[in-house]
Amino acid sequence: MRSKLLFLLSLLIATSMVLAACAPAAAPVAEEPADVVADEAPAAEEPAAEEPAAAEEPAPSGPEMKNPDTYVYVTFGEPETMDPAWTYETSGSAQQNNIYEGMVWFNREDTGSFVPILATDWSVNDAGDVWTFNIREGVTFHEGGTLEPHDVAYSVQRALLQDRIDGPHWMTHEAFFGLYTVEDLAIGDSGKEFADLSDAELVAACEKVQGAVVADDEAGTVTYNLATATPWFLAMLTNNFLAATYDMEWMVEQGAWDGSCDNWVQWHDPQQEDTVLFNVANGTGPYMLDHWTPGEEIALVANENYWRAEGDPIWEGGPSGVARIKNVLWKIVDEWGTRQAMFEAGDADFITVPSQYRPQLEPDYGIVCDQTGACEDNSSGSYIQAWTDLPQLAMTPAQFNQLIDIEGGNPFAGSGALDGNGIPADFFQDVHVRRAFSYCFDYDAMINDALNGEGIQSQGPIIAGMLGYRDGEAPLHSYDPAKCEEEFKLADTDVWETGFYFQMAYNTGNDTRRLSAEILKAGIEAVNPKFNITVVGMPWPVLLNARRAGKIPIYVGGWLEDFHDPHNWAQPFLHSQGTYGRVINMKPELAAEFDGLVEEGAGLTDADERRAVYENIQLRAQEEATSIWLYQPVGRNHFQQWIGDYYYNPAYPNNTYSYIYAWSKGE
Amino acid sequence: MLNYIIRRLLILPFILVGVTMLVFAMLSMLTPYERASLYVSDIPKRQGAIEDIIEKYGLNDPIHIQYWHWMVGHEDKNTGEVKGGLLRGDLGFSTVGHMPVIEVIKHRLPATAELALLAAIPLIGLAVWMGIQSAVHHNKLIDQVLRVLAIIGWSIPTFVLGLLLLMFFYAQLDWFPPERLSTWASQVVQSGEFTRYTQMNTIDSLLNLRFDIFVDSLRHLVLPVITLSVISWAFLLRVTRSSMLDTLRQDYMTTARSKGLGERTVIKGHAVPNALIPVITVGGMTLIGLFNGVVITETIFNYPGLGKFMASSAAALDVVSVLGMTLFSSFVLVFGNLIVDVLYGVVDPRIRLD
Repeated sequence: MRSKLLFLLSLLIATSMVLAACAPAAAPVAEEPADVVADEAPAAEEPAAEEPAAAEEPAPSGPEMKNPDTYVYVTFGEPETMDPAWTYETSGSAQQNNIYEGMVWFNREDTGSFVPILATDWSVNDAGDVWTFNIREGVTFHEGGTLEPHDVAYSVQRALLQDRIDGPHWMTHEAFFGLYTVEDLAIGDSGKEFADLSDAELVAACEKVQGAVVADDEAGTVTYNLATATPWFLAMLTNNFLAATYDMEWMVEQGAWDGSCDNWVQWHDPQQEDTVLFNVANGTGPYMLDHWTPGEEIALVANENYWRAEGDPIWEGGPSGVARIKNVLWKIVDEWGTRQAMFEAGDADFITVPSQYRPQLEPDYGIVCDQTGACEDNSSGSYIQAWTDLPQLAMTPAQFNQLIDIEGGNPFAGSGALDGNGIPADFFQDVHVRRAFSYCFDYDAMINDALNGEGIQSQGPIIAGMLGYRDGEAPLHSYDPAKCEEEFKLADTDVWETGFYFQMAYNTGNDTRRLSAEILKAGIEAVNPKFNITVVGMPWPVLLNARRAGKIPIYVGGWLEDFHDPHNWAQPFLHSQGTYGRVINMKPELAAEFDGLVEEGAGLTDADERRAVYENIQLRAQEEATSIWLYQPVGRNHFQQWIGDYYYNPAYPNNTYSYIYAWSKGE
Repeated sequence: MLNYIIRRLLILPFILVGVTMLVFAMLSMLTPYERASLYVSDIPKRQGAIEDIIEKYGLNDPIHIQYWHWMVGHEDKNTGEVKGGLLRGDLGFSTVGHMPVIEVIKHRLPATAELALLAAIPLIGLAVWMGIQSAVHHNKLIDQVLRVLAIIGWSIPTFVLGLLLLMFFYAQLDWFPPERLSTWASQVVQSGEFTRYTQMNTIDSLLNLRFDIFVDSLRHLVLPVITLSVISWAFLLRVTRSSMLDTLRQDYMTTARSKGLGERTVIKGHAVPNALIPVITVGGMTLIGLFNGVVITETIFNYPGLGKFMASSAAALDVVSVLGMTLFSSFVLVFGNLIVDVLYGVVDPRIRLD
């Protein structure tokens, strides 16, 4: 009896601990009032922001502000490198946007206008392919050097020559030379392999690069000579892979490329750890890199010698002088529960919240703001400053491979023939089959179940809000099993009678992609029992290799904008040299049509003319169902209420890109 | 004893070579294209770029050649520089750790060691003492209580216990935070005014006479130490108890009592030394496990040790790091086993390792 009593007692104690841990917090009262956020009014035509309540409102319950001089950003993942020219991922952009500067930056939340940074002003010729910037005087680097025009030219030339196998410079080479790699530039028409090029041919390539960006230290200018009119050039110049400006003399001292065309290959296509900027930084920006402890944290400190004077705001009403927040700390915390606990304890000012966990935080939403900066005070004791319904400049389609490689057998394509146990190589060349798949996908289930309602159905490669998006027009395809069946029956083959089988692959760990594949499988198999799809998860290298080899029939893969222009959407998905366009193997006549349209849009400078071209691209991409255009996600940002002056610019939407110079803490 | 140690040390290189072969054989199950794909995040723009990587790193070479290059290094065809090579102390570059694997291990081992050593005190001390008490007071109140607690401790999954402790003692009470240091303390430690002697914050803070940082580092260690201790403590307690019970039933214990020895002498002098043999085995293996890093505990408490590194590397398919950590674990395991074997002889002189 006694042992039973003891057991029950122990159980009671353990249960009490569990319940106590799960109970709502009786947290200490915050020191800060609730009126410190979102005090920036939106543009004139936007609805006025509702002023958050001030002193008369009850103070929100929640954590105490622990580090008044430090902005603590808690997230998962970390940069691959600190070298902006090497970086082609979001984590690295976070630090670089605050350490480095380029010619221009966005005018606060406006994605279409720019303010000068290291330039004082600029001009462009009538053809739109020569851009000249007057370089600001009196700018110093963190390590003490003085900015001169040749530093700007060197920075761009280094980026173009460094390039790398899967980096960002396909965009810069496209803009400067109409090609996609420096190796293609060097190879030219020689017909040789890059490794077989002579020294003279390599030098010639380097000289072309040096001719593309020309500095005049006397005149204080830098001129960019582009391959053709490039309407998105300023947007691209906000990206640090092109924009980040280094002190040439300091770089050479560290062992970087010395500007000579005789030896540039030594610094070409390096491993991430082999560039001198791998874990150090020397920019001109409002913050300096203090330390990077891999796997733990990245710390920035305010640049007390920042060149921007007090009273000289970056934009009207914007920040000036030395940054108000003195330290910035990116903490790398992979586990969601730990991030949440740090937020609740006040050790984190911002946390990354995966969409499936957002409902957990909703009861604590105190101030809720939308993308325009209009805020609603729900305080009643809650402490989170939430920015909701933020459109992300990202989109995920399911892409058809129109010419599957079945040589030597391909398990993804089953038997490799239309015999009920596989699909032939050209299965997706039939537009009716592609349309049928587009009608058999339950878009609402995807958005509601997989994205917790935080997404919108895409209507083509160009995302909502972008020039070329067909405003007011519904997507051509919606979930409609009857139309799906109708399209299958219109196909050139007797696929409806024969049936098919193939495998859809996703990279293991990516649950959203897995759900996309599962929803498509369910929709297809429901319309005809002879249709069978198997969903398989694969490690990324294995999947990448199979995709590279053209073996995967349908690939679900997303795109995150590099620069804010419809070209960065149309080209990757539809151009035969695009990131996705070159592996979906469109029929030659279709590929030629889209190549023509994409290049036409890129070559125009008039906004109305461009809009017409891109709207046509958007429509044709749906009519031809080159992909199943799935969804554009919508995001949220979660801050403590003591973070002020945040604004939402969709061109750098995830807080990973934030321009912290503009913010305040506890003011 | 000395001969035994020398013999074991001489065998060690062969064991480690065997481990490297096994590890390399596993890596070779990936095709050259798949291994090359580990170095790229997307399909390269230039045709033939993947093939260039395969050529550059010799991924198409016969497996014994690749193994040799892995062991002694590989000459870079562009620069002539020899890179890599286990025998040169180069375990490769960790893309997750952002530094050479050997540097990652050097950097993170002190954190793991600090956690392991602090966890070992309550773990081994309390577990052994409680196990003995439990056995000595077999089926008495104390035995019943300890058995229930052991069952609870053994049954709670680490991640559940860790998260519950974190939510209660940190998110709600703000007593014991995760990570190694608070933001303010971390800023001091990273500054030039603080000297990192051992990379163990508790020791370094004392050597720097920064008692505020010492207290802060202890606060951060409380929850991971409790989490680690509870799980392993329960197991060790049960092993000690079983071993003690078994020993107490031996005939020589009855003989000792019949000779008129006091109960305390019988327990301390005869029962405990005999009962400790399996405890040393289990305790030793537990400690070896702790020194290799504890994946779940370090991940939950965002504790930057080897376990978290191992988990991140595996999740990111950082094969180089996983291989390096596998080799490191092998070293620790082999040396740990050697120490445990030596301890047998110390605890029980009847055991002659020679």
